[in-house]
Amino acid sequence: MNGDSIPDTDHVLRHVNSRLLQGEDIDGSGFRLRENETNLSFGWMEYYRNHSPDEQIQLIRDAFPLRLKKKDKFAELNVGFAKRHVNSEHPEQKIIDFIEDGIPLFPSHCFMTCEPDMDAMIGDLLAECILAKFPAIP
Amino acid sequence: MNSREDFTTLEIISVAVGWSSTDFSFQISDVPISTVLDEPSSGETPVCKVWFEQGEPGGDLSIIGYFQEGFGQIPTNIVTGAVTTMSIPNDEPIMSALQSSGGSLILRATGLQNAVFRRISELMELALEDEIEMSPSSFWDLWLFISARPAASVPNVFALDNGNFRAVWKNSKSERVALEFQGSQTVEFVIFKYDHLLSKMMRMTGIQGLNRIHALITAAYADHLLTK
Repeated sequence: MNGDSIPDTDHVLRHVNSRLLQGEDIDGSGFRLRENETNLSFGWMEYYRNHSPDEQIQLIRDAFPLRLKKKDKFAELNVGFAKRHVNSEHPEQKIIDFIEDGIPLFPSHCFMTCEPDMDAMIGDLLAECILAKFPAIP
Repeated sequence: MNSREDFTTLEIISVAVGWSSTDFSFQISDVPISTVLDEPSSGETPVCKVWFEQGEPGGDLSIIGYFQEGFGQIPTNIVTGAVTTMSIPNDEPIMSALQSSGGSLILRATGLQNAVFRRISELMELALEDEIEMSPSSFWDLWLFISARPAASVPNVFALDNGNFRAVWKNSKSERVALEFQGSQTVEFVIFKYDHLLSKMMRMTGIQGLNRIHALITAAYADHLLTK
């Protein structure tokens, strides 16, 4: 239900623009707010719980509201690992959470909150949590 | 056009890149050239034109020319080069080198400059596609930083949504120095450095002036990330 936290065992995908990756390296700036974002947006893979991971990724691609380019990628994070990593490694022990926020056009949408606030290091810490990368356009 | 008056002979100055002195001839003409990133003159700092010559479009950067305002000569053989106008603070080493050489300085590009320039060219195309206007001041601060450290390793460089460039040096141990050049001599840094005594990754972030960022990296014992 919208407003609920995503379970720690679940996974989210962040769209990363090709300007923010070089070779296989995704920069921490891929996890910064875009001009039109108030919170970091993600696609929640297990929203499509009865599908295979490959199908989950494709369903998120299909509904993704921004224009995807050939060299863009999706970066996969495990929710629980990302939360623990940021909290334990950030010098200010910041607390992040992933909140369900589906809309009709993008039903798997969720966003990340960060208390007390975001800074440049959060992105670099999240980049350390990337489990896998997928082409935005297969 | 072949008369001697059409040309100005410049002496190539040997600086840190270790190039021996040679003469170069330049033609005084209005050869059309592309612009990398022009910064509007503030009127408070000296203006310098920087010319980047590539052997071919998208190819290696062979020569970098720095010309103080008013010098004005444009190389005859520019076909694929790019030029940009930048304001440079007086305390930048390039300014004293430029002044002592009579207003022009021509240097062979280092491997680091070549790699960063090539990457910036790619990023400029991607930013154009996204309708993002990259910051000339950010570009110039990045350029000054790497030009002052010719022996540094090649960083990954990214073009951020806010128009700034971010350079990242990291290693296989997840240590990193990430510098977002915010323009106007300001740098936002993120440093991850493993402390063997504490067996813990030390992490720091903040904002520092361009002229003090290297001292900060040194103080964090993260210098090794910038060296080959």
